[in-house]
Amino acid sequence: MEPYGTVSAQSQPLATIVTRMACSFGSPHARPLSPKRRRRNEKPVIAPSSLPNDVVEEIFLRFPVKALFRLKTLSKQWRSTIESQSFEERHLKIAERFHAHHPRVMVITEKDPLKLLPRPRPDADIGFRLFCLESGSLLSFILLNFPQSFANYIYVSGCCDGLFCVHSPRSQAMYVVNPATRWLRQLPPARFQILMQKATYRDWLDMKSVFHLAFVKANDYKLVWLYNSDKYNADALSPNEGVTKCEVFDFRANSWRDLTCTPSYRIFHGQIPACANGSVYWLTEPYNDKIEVVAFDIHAESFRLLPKIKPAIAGSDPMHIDMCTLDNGLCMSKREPNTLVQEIWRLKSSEDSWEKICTIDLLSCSSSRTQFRDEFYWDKQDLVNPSTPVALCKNKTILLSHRYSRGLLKYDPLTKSLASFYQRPLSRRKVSYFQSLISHI
Amino acid sequence: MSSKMIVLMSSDGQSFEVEEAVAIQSQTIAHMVEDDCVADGIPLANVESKILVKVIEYCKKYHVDEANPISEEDLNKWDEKFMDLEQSTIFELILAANYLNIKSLFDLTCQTVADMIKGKTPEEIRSTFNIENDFTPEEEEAVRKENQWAFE
Repeated sequence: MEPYGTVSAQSQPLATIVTRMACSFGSPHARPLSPKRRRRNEKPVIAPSSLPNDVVEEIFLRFPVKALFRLKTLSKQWRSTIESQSFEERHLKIAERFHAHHPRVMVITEKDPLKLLPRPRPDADIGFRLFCLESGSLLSFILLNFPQSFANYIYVSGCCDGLFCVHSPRSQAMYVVNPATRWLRQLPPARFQILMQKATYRDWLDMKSVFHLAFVKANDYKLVWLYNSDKYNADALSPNEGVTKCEVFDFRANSWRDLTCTPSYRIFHGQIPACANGSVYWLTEPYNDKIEVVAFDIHAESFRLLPKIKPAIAGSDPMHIDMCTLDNGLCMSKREPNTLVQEIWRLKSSEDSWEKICTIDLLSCSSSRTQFRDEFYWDKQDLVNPSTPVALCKNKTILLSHRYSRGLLKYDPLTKSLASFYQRPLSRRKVSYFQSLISHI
Repeated sequence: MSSKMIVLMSSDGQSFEVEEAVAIQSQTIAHMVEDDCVADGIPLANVESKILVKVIEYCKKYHVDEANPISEEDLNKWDEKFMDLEQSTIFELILAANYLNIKSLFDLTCQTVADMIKGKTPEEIRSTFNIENDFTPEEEEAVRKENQWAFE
C-alpha cells in the first residue's frame, strides 16, 4: 500500500480540500482557499472532517438500514435527515442498484420452530430470513410480532420497495410491513375479508378462492385484490356483480375501493399474481379448454388479456402451469405431465412474443431424489405442479421453489444437478428482495 | 488512427496527457470540452497529482473498448484491487470524483467508505466526521431506546 505523501524537510503549503469550488480554468494561478501548513515529520492527512455535508450524506446513503438507525443518535440534524422522505427515496434508488449486483432472497415463515417455548407461540409471529442469492449464506433473521393474529391463513405479497403486505382472508388482519426497519402499519380489512366472515369452518376446508393480492407502486403504492364472485363473498347490498371483483387499497385515503370494470373470466385460484413491467398478471380458469392471462395496468387501473400465450401453455391444465417474475419480466412455465420436464418462457416487453430461458428436468437429476425429499415432495400429485423459479443466479443456475415445498433448491440446467439452498418447514413466501428505509406510506 | 488528446494539470503542477474520450467520463471535463476551453490544458486546482493518477487509471479501465470487452465480474475484481487504499486516500478520491463529476467512481468510493465504517459506533463516526452531538444525554438515550434493536 502506498503511503499517502512523503515527509520533506521543507514545509510546503498543503492544499486542503474545501467545499466545491468552481473550476478555475482561465486563471492558472488560482490558489486554494485555506492552505494548511505541514509540520516537519508529520504525514499529511486529509481529515474526513473536512468533507462537505452533502458528501457525508452520500456515504450514509450507502449504509445498510440497521447501521442507519444507529446513526440517528449522531445528532438532531442527522436524525432528521435520515428520517426525511427525500433521504428514504434516494436510499431506495441506491439499494435497488446495489441489489442488481448483490441479489438477495427473503424467506417468510410463520414461526421459528427451533425456539421451543413452554406454551405454543401464537401465529402472530412471522419470521423474515434474508439470504444472499449467490452464496446462500443467511444474512439476517428478524422475527416480528403482529398485534392481530392470522388464524393460520397467512398470505404474503411480493416485495414492493422493501415492503410486504401480510394478510389473512380469515381473521381480517391486513398489514404492510418493512422487515428491515421493523415498521408495520395495520390496514382496514377488504370487503372480501369482511364478507368471508359468514363462511363456516367446513366452508374453509373446501374453499378454493383467490386469496393472494398484489402489492405494487404506480405514482402511489396500491394493493390489488382480484377474486371471483361466489357465494362466500356475495354482498346482499349489490346483487348484480360480475364474474370477478377487484378491490384496490388506496394508502392515502386509507380505504379500499371497488373497480367497476373487471374481467369476465374466472381467475384460477392456485396461481399467485405476478407483477412485472408495470402490470399485474393472473391466470384464468380454462374456457373451452383454453387458459387466458389477465393483465392489469397499474397506472391506468384497467384490465386486458395478453394477446399471445404459447399454445402449449394455453391448452394446459392450470395445475401444470406456473407464472412468476424474473428480472422484472413475466415468465410462464409448463410441466409436461408425461416427461415431467418444465420449460420456462419469458415475455418480451413488447408483449407479443416469448423466449425460452430455461428447461428444468428434475427427474434426470444426478442428485439423489431422496436427499431432497424434504424440500420437494415427490408424491405423484406434487410432481404434477411445476416448480416456481424465484431468481436467476449469475452462473445461470436457477433458484427453485415449489407450491408444496418447504425449501429452496438451486438447479443447474447444464449439469442437471440440484443443490440445497434452504430447508425449513412452513415457508409462506420466498421472493427476491432488497431492503429499504421506507416507513411512511 | 490518432485520438484526440487533452492535458490535465494537477494542483501541484504536474501535467498528464489523456485521450479525450477517456477524460470526458468526467462530466466536468466533458462540459469544458463542449465549451471549447481546453486548448491550454485543463488546470484542476482541487486535485493533487497522486489522486489524479488514480482517477486517470480508473477512467482508462472504464473506457469501453468494443474490441476488448471486459466482463462485469472482472471489473468488480479490478474495482476491489483498485480500492485497496488508505482511508485518507479514498476520501480524497471521493472529493476528486465529486468535483470531476464521475458518477461511477463517486459511487464506488462512497460505497467503499460506507462498507468500511458501517460497523462503527455513533461515537466513532462522530469523531471521524467531526459531527457535534447536540442531544442531551436523556434525549440521546431516548433515541437509542426507540431503536434498541439496531444496537444489538
